[in-house]
Amino acid sequence: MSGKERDVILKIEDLYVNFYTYAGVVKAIDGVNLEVYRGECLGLVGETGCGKSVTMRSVLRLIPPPGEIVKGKIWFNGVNLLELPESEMRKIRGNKIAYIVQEPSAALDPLYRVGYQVAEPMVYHGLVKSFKDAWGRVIQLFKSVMMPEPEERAKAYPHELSGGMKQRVVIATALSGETELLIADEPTTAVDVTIQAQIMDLLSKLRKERNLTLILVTHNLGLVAEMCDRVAVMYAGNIVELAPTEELFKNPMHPYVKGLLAAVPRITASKDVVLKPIPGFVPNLIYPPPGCRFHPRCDKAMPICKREKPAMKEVAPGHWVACHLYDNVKGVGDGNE
Amino acid sequence: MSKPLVETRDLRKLFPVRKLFRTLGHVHAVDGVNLQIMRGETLGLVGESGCGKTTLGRLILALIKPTSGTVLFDGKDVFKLKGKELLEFRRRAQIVFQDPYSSLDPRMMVFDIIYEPLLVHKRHFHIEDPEEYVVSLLEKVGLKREHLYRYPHEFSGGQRQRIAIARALALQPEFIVLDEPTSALDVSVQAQILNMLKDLQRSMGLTYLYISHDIATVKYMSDRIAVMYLGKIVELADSQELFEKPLHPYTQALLSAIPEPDVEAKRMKTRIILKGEVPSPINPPPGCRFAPRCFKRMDVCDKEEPQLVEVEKGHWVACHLYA
Ligand SMILES: Nc1ncnc2c1ncn2[C@@H]1O[C@H](COP(=O)(O)OP(=O)(O)OP(=O)(O)O)[C@@H](O)[C@H]1O
Ligand SMILES: Nc1ncnc2c1ncn2[C@@H]1O[C@H](COP(=O)(O)OP(=O)(O)OP(=O)(O)O)[C@@H](O)[C@H]1O
Ligand code: SF4
Ligand code: SF4
Ligand SMILES: [Mg+2]
Ligand SMILES: [Mg+2]
Repeated sequence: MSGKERDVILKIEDLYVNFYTYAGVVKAIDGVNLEVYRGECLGLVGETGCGKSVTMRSVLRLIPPPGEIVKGKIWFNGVNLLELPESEMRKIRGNKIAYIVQEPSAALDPLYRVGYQVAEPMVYHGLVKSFKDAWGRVIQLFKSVMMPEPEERAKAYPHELSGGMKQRVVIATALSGETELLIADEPTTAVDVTIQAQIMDLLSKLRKERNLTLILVTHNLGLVAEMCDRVAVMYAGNIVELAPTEELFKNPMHPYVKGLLAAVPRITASKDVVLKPIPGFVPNLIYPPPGCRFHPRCDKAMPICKREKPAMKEVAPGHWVACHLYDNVKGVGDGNE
Repeated sequence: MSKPLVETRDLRKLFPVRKLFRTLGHVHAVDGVNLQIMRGETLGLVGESGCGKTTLGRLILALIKPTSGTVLFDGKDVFKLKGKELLEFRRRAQIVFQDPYSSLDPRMMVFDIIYEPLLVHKRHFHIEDPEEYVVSLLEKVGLKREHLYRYPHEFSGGQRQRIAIARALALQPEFIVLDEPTSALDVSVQAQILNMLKDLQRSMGLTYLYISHDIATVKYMSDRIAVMYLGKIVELADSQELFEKPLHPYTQALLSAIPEPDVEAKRMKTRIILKGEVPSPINPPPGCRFAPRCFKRMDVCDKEEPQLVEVEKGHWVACHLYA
């Protein structure tokens, strides 16, 4: 590591996840390494199926069968979560680490009042003695997520709330524990942009107030530019580039990342800017391309790209990239390690 | 002066909301829309989920009947067309849907999917070699001969959308409603489809109604843009003009809420965070429908409904601030 040592809250080391399907073994996560610093907002971006959710679910050990973590370590506050007994893991899940999913309806039980659902994990984790004691905190949490008429809304059933309000309930639940790390997996995909702006505003505010670490999983590069301190970009099961946000947008290095940035329409662009699509499409992960998984779509591909998988390399302070184009560039750590 | 290819006149569609046997009210899905779509242009239609975009698109294609008002296509009332004339309208006006997974019949091969409309319209008599004709369409959308006899599940989302577009082109239409054609696709593939649609428009002289809630793609595609809120057009302007000078408070909030994939843009921007939720379109209140969330609301806004007026040449807005 270069520069001053930073306090690492989460460290994913050499993670491999497979799904054993009838069609074959889906090699969904293919050696992911990632450090998350305490108090930062890290963006995890990439297109559908690149492995964002599976990576994050691995942190919580919530990979459903036929999926399996085949290799790797996940350190949270210095403890390898993959070696913890399930009973210990349960104390962390939904308490120290909270997970917000894309579709708030999926996270809420239609049969219970939403206030009760926010109270339940507090009771489970022993943070309050009873549901009665929890109620006051529920109302407080509803106020902190700026739910209109919190007392009334706590008694509502999920179907009585709008998409935006449901997502507020889910965020309130996520904050009900002794939350240190909040993983928000596409928290605003199901809501409109004006509501998205409200929710993002709320998340930024809560993060500052509570000194939370936030991992924002999204395919929306705009959200990342606006919210995050650092960004990791995934492609077909690998992290291909990781850098401070400003650096990544100003000086993208990986051909895929450059391609993505040239392919997004922008409202500030002038009328004659033509989008440059990336040719081809995302590979099948049962038979992923050998070497660099991006090589069939890459206009810079070289013979080595088909043979060898490029390793992550720190090419500028804090700026990591996995691409053979930078094999001969002097890395940050080179020569003194 | 070119004449509009499509014109809606005070078009309205209400859906009854029923509980058991009682009608509780009506969803004002499309509520008095007057729009013109010029030959050869792309009119963009933006607005949040449920504001009535799809309903408006379906009305224009006469796929559903309006509660009141009408649609003129090339000067003729589409709801009065019958027999041959109706069939001819169905040939000239097509639609491409959002979801390339459900819009194609999984049991049909690509050839049949694309050739079927020709059979339905009895146009196959004019075609010498069906296979060559379908191949020529496939090539227009960037697919190949080798794809002819495959099933939809063998294709990626982007490829399926290409197939759906080839099908829409099969009858050589003049007008296509594109209802969120890329919202199920990834950015890298979205750009492929958008560019292709633009090229096809140029080479085939098509007119588009491009519907989306993704304002950045609407800007990329459209010559003019209509902003819809709860069943009404609240602003209509030239694409460039709308982004440079949004007049309606809702348009201003909407544009300011879009996160730009750019670190410079972030610093420049002052965001308008709207209070409150998107209200229900069931029995909307009198006055301006945006009033409950508006940051510029005045007394008159609760009482009188603002009309869409042309405040500058080609720039229309429905808001009391400009009355
Ligand atoms: N239950 C499953 N069975 C088989 N394969 C799976 C399963 N769940 C995930 N995968 C595979 O794992 C890969 C990564 O999936 P993941 O859900 O992490 O993608 P993602 O980046 O979160 O995408 P999205 O943006 O669509 O949410 C996918 O390519 C998918 O094929
Ligand atoms: N067949 C129907 N019966 C009853 N209500 C309907 C029907 N179709 C649409 N609606 C209602 O009409 C309103 C407008 O729907 P529409 O699908 O046109 O919106 P939209 O702008 O296309 O939204 P989205 O962006 O989510 O596609 C919504 O409130 C919807 O619930
Ligand atoms: S390693 Fe090779 S194929 Fe992969 S992104 Fe770099 S240049 Fe392209
Ligand atoms: S009419 Fe009034 S409430 Fe409606 S947008 Fe204009 S200022 Fe706001
Ligand atoms: Mg996901
Ligand atoms: Mg729609």
